[in-house]
Amino acid sequence: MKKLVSVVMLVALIAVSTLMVVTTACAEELKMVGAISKIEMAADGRSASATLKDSKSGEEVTIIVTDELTLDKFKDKRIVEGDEIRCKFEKEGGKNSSKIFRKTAGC
Amino acid sequence: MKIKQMAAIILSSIMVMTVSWAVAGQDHGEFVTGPFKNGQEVTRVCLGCHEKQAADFMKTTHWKWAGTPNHIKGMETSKKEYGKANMMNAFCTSIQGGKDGLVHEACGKCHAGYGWTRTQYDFTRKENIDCLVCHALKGNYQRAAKGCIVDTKAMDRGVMDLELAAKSVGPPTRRNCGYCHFFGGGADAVKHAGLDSTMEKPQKAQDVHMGTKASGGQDMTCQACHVAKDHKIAGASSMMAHYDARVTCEQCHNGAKAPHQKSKNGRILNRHVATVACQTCHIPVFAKAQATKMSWKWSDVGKDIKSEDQFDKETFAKYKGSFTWGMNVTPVYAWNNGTVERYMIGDRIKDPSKPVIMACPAGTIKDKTAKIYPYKLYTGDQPMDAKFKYLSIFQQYQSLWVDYDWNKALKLGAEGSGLPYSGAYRFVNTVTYIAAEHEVSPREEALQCGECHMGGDRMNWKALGYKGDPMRFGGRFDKKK
Repeated sequence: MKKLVSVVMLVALIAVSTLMVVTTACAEELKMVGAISKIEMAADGRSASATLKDSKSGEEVTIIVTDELTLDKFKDKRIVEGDEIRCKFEKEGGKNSSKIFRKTAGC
Repeated sequence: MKIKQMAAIILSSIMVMTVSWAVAGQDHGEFVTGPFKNGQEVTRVCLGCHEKQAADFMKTTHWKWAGTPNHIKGMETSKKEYGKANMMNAFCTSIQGGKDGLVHEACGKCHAGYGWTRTQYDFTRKENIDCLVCHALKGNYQRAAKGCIVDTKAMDRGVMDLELAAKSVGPPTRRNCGYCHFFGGGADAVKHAGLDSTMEKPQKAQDVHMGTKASGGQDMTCQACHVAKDHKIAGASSMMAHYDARVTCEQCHNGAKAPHQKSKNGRILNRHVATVACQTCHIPVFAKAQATKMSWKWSDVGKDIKSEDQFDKETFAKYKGSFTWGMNVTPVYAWNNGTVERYMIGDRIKDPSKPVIMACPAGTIKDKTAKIYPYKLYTGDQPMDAKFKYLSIFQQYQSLWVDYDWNKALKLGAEGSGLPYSGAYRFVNTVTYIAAEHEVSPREEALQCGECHMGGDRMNWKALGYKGDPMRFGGRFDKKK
């Protein structure tokens, strides 16, 4: 009986681990450089959506930003519409989650 | 007795209030009234109460971009002043490139003053001090990319509020210092080891001192370590000529806060302190949250090289050349006795086949005052005059970056620097040791014995002057080696 429980537990563990790996693998990581056309802060201030126009394709991509440092920059207008951004984001379930969101500026 | 007690309470309250006021800063909202059109108008208001502070500030390297070279081995007693104003490095190299210091109008973005757009600049005009870049806490204070002025375009766009900035002044935050120092070398994370824009709000794991309270860190300001006196700020960049005072770990970590007290190997660790700097064990890697530039080849300017992506940074720009980047970089280690060896403008290059040392720590195993410190080893190449055998200064900003013509850029650079150009150039490799002083890790992540000793290869013992692992062959202070 003990052996059976152990085997069931092991199978369950493997199944859960596999599912987790598959889920992670589904998330696609993309990079782009583009100007911000729109920034919308969430009412609670804990996230924002920024729409960027890809400098290569011209396509508009909306990215969800949740990191505190970037949100601060939105709030105090250090990053505003028109700024060019280098962005890395994860595309998952129709949602683009920002991983890196930085101004391209520099001499 | 009661009167004495009351007096003590009142006195204590006054002291607490005074200290709080001094630390938190006076609310300037009631003294400062706008509107303001430019930075000088704000500074004139500041001067109404702060003439002394302005006079103090004008003696600092933040204002002069120069100071006596007390940090440079062999030049400690020189009275001539050196600094960003008249030294060169292996990043954008020099601010002297171009007739009448043309480049100042861009590099001067990080001068804590207004109007230094050309070589000639009146350093006696107090109204040109930019108080706000260090002290504005609100209003999104910005300096223009060109012209050494307040960013009036940002004001026009409603992105910056100069009056709010002026009213908000207080002790500098990490963001104030970071406005320039996170962007050393011309952009985010380029120059310094472990000092980039992510340090504005780092996690404890990135920096135990500056990490936010929410992440378990101390949320310390820069000046908690870089103690300021009369506007002179302690600290010594490993590339710069002058320092006003040093920053040491021991200024806090002494007495009851002395290191390794709770460690089971405390005695052994404390024996290291005479030879190994705190940073060596407590900064095991740098550039934890963003990649830092590790090399820069100016010789690739104008070439058609495909830019790759390395740690989310570009490896080539036609106007600047090619770069490499590093993240979670393991430092290199070298002895330092508190001074540096530095390439100075006009120094002759004896053997161009070998890299020119732009900056490196001074000290050897035989120097009892020296300790082993961690460094970012930054490499690259840049032009030298093939005949005169010194590193040349070139006009990058409105010459090389526009047409990639080295000869023209070198001629213009010579006009600005006064360092003649023979008409022939070649490239020479450079090496710069940049001290890793930030991104101190939590104690759990400090180096463990086995990383350096008993086969650990983090330290190149022979290069440091030992016969081998000092645990096996003996330390430098051991009687028998």
